[in-house]
Amino acid sequence: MSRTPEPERAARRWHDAAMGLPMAGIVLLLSPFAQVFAVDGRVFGIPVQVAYVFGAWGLLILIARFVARGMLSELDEPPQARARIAPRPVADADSALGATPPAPR
Amino acid sequence: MLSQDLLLAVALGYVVFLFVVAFTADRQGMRRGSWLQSPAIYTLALSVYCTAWTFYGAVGLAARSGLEFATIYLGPTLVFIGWWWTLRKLVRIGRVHRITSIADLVSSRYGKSPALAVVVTVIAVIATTPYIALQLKSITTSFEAISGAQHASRTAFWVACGLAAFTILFGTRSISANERHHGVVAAIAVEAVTKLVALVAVGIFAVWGVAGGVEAIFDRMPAEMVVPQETFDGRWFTMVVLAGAAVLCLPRQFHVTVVENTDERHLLTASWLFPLYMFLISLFVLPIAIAGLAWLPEGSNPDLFVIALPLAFDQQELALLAFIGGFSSATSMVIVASIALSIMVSNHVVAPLALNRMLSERAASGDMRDLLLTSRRVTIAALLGLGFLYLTVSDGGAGLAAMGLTAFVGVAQVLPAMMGGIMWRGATRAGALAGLVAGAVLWLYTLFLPALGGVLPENWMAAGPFGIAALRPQALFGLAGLDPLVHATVWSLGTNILLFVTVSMATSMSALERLQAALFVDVFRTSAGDGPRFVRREAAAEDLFILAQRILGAVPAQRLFDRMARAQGRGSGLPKADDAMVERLERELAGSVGGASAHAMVMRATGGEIVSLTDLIDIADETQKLMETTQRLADKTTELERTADELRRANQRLRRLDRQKDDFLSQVSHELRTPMTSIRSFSEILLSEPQVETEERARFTAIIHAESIRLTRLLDEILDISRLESGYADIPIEQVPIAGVLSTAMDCVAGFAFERGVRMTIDDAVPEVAAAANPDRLLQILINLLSNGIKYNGHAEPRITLHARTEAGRVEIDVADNGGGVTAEEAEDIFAKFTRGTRAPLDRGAGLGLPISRAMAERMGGTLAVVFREDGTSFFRVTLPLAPPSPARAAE
Repeated sequence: MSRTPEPERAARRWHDAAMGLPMAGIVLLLSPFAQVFAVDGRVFGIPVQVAYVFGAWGLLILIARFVARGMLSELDEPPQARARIAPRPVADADSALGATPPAPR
Repeated sequence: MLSQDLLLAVALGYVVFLFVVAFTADRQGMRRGSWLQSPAIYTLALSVYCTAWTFYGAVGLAARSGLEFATIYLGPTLVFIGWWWTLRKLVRIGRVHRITSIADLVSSRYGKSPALAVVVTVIAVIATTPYIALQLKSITTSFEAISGAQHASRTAFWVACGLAAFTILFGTRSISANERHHGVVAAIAVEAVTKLVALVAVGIFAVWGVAGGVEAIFDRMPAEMVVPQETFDGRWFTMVVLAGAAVLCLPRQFHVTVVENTDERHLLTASWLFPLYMFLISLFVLPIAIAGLAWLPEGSNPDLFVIALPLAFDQQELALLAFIGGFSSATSMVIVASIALSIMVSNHVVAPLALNRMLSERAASGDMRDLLLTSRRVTIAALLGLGFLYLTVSDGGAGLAAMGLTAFVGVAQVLPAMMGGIMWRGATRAGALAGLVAGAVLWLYTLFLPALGGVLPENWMAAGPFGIAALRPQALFGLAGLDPLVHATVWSLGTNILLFVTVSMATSMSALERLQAALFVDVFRTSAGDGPRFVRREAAAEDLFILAQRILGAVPAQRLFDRMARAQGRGSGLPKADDAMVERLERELAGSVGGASAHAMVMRATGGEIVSLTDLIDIADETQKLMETTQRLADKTTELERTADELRRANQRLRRLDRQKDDFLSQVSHELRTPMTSIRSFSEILLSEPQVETEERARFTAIIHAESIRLTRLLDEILDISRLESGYADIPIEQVPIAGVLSTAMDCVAGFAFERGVRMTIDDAVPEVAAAANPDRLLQILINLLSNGIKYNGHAEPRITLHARTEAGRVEIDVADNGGGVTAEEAEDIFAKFTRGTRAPLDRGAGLGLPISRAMAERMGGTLAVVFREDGTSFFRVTLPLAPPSPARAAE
């Protein structure tokens, strides 16, 4: 079980990143954490809070781009990772079921 | 100020340009792999989210409430960077099940329910009409602002007409082909670029043209505009959530995201590109608002800062660009929203009605397709007419943003049923219906009607209807003191979710609902082709062909049936109407008229259906099954590992036994050899040297005799142990009183013990019981243990203690000496043949005593083991089964 093939593991890392990213976004923009930056003051002439909201927003976009690129390259390369997003063949579901009775024709 | 004529000319020119783009794209889009099917175009089409509300209203909102405007884009940003959770599944379901609208999705999921489709359609129409009115209003007010005209409602009328024409022309060309409109999408993409360029241009002008730098513009920011401590409050949270819900549930947004999607991979690009678009369009909102407040005359309408600012500085070209940008935002929204709504109305309201008519006049071969297309065109015209009417009647006083947010809360009512439907198998039709209706009613009462103004009587707002204070629309059941938006959201969505979940749990599903639930929730594991495995229908192919012709048109229907016939391996004629064929036809029809209507039509043609329940349970329990399979596999793996482990251990034991056997043989030969050697050598002396004296001769003979006895004993022992181990030895079991056998054993070794100065005691009172054993063998074991204790005790005051007690139907006899016992390492080995403990001086005994004793104990159904005390010393314990009580014992 621990011997997952290398490409498979890389693909799973991208999936984990894609799943985790919105949570990071929620922590940055919707949680009490954002209150840390609810202070007066300016950075580069911009009020701190404005800079924080747009900075966090930009950061999330950058990471999202990184993750999307990673997943796209993953999709183009190993066929076993492709199955995760590309349509799965029906036979896949059938064989997983095993005991499903064949449809009467 | 710009002249009205010029403005009209520019607007008209721009519209003509859009027509050309749409027309060219419609031609191009048919081809596969054309640039129109690129992820960038998909993303730009998504930007239909940014309407005139964004273009003008966001600046207005920023001028009034600072950073709050950003929530409108942060919600969608979170949804899109979190595409893995929701959008991925929605898009896949949309493609697999040929979903035509959000109403279609909800209805298809809950057993193709027509009622649900109608409810969602009604909510969407109610929420969208004022929104469309707002777009028209933004066009007219911006027109008035830039041209100085006074009453431009005539302009609004012509704009509405133009938009209707465009939408009808490019949005209702066909009813099938998965509702993709390449021309419209291309035009929307062009408009997306226009509005971004326009807003950024005005922003750059505001920052560097007017203020003279970033620092300078924020220097002019009023202190109350961004109050850091008050930004992240309940309203912030509510608005982010609402905006996130809206980007999933707004009919136009669902249309471009799911229905117009040509490739699932485009979602990956859009996951960051669309948030980037919104980021860029928001970037200059705050600076424009600040510049408007600082440099425009007091009392200027903040919703028009985008145009008023360039005009105030006499930048007419920039003002014109801004006008075109706003025009683009408004028109793109109106076009897509009216297409999406017209599909919903025609598929879910008109089609079921037409179906009834079609049934009543069965012979007539009316063409459904024409009817549906006409109904869509009429719907589009009606929506725009309604919007125009709404605009002129209400003469909207509220800020642009208010209506936008009201619409957000309205469409968010669909969210629980939609998300629950694709994530939760247990969600039922009744639950979805209850949640939707209750949520929609509360939304209308607490937000929509109050926002309209003048619809609800004045005193209702203040004192509640009929003076019932608990029913005040903006303080329902005394929940006062909240922001009206938060109040309405909490009540409507809260009730919606609560009813959805509880009713779902209280009601059961029909077979078709169960099937659809499984197909939707497990869309990544099943495929649309799974349907026919579970649904049995019978129909005449001719009836189905007539049905298809009516909906798809004669030529496309003929083509479809030819394809299906070929797929069945038939050269000519109609395909056989088997389950798979009927299911495929239904899916094709669903792509045109929606799932519920297609289902109803096919049902009529096939005369009902039988959903095979047993088969259905298979798919409904697919997840369960997969989990079980995985579990079984895991179990098997553990079992295999355990078996392998046991095998390994057994192998090790076998090797050890093999080694022991070899050792045993060499030990036996060695042990036999020693006495044999002395016997042989003494016999040789006696034979070869007759002159040996008589005394010597007698001594030699005595040695030979003693050695022979030893040899015999050894052989006896070996025979004994092999008989015991192979189980041939016959050991009769009888009742053996413990006290008696213990004292006999002590008597037997008393002489030997006295010789070695070992004191033997019997600890405690020996219980008056009898063991089921063979008295001779038990005695032999005890004597063996006692003499071991005597022989190998190195203590200065050697002592042996005997101890006996009963324990759970068995009797335990402990033989302990104070020499320390054997060590833990030795404990395993001392029961092997010919092994002697380290305490034993070399060459004393053959090392067979303990193995024989153990074999005998085991043959009597008992054990002989080494028991360790906590201090590391050990003693021997013999355990034997107790004999059943009998009168014989009383005689003892």
